[in-house]
Amino acid sequence: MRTRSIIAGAAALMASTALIGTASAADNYKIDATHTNIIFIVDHLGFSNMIGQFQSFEGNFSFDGKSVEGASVKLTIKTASVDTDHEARDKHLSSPDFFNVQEFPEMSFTSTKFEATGDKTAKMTGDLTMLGVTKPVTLDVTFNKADKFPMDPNVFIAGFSAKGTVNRQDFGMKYAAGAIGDNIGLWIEAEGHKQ
Amino acid sequence: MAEFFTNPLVQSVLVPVAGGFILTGAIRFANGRAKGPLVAGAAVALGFLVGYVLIVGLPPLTPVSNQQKLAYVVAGRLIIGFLMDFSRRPPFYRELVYIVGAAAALYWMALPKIAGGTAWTYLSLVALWIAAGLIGYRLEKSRANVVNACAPLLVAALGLGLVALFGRTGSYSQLAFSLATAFGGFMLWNWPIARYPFGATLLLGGAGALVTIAYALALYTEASPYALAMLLLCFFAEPVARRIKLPAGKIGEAFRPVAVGAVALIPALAAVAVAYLTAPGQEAGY
Repeated sequence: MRTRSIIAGAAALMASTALIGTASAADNYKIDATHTNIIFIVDHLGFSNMIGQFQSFEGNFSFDGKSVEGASVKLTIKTASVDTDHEARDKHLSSPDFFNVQEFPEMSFTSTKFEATGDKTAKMTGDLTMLGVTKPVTLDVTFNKADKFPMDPNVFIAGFSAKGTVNRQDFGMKYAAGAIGDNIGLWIEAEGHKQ
Repeated sequence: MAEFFTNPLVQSVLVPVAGGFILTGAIRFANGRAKGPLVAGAAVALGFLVGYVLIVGLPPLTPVSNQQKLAYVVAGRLIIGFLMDFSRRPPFYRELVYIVGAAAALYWMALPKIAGGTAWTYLSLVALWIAAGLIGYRLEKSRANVVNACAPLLVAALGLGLVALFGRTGSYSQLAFSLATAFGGFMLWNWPIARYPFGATLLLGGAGALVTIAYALALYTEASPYALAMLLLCFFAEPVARRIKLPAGKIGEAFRPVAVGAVALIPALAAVAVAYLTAPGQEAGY
């Protein structure tokens, strides 16, 4: 999720590159939680891919409007907000078997590097801290759009999508290895409001 | 082959019971006739740790979660217990180390809670420590026959596993089953004839592992605190079972631990029932 936020930040940076003139230098954006989804996808015994998301998070990103290299993203997620549309499973995901929410109530992502890969795409690398373990993660970010909000011209929005994969075992989440997939797909759809 | 060891039954039952059994013999014979029997109980904690590695994996050198701390707590207690038994320390020392160790382990595991703790948090921690002390006290009282002391530990570990399962914590459930079966492996050497004493290795390593799992469940999971408290009653089974009339002689002696286990099973089943009825979300098969 943090990775996604970072990706969002990267996308925002890309957007700034594409939208010179509309965004000013080192603009700061606050993640709009109502239009942001932090989704994870995991293999369930090989039968299907289960989808879940985190409902509670906050973050921001900034970019100078000229190049993605100067962008930054920071995201904090409340692990207890994990939601797979199934109460019992969410309880289990909150337990020490998975997100261990009582010991680790938050996970975070802080970007460390952005690399442009196209006009509207970039690779965003950052430090993902989950279960007390910090590891570098890279996400592919696509900038979607940055513009004034049609319903309120005083609001300037940047939106992006980000995708990537993390290996849960790298963070010490080893329960049910071999049954539940190790590689967790991350998919972030995010919007941020310029501050 | 790797797939074989990812099977929960292999991790929690087959490997620990085999480990407990084989290691008991190996430790006994490796340490000679004089000291071997004193330290044979180390097999329980060792068998549990083998199961732990299969279930959770090797813990990092600097543990960050309580589940990782658990391995170090058990290993540390096991080493101290082994050294105490090996050097034939008087019972006072193992009792002292047990109760001080229980407080130290609790403090280490509860650190994230202590920082922003309320009066209720501190009361709960004191209650957990008293519970650990009570278990130690009861075990010391029934240690004359090693199986009489181990039977409630085995039953309580099984109960703990089911309470953890209904508390939606599969890994701790597996760890508790792993401990129970490691006790089972050790007890096979001691029944119907008790061969090895209940010393510091069993008190600190075996009972210590049970207490530490219970700490983690009470502090960081949805496991029912009422069910966990009820499991304490398992350790009062021995004086109750003593009232059951059994044939005199060796047969009665052999069946005494069975009676202790059967009596311990009553509060354990009650605890499991409470855990089931208060479980967070009853749906299965997700």
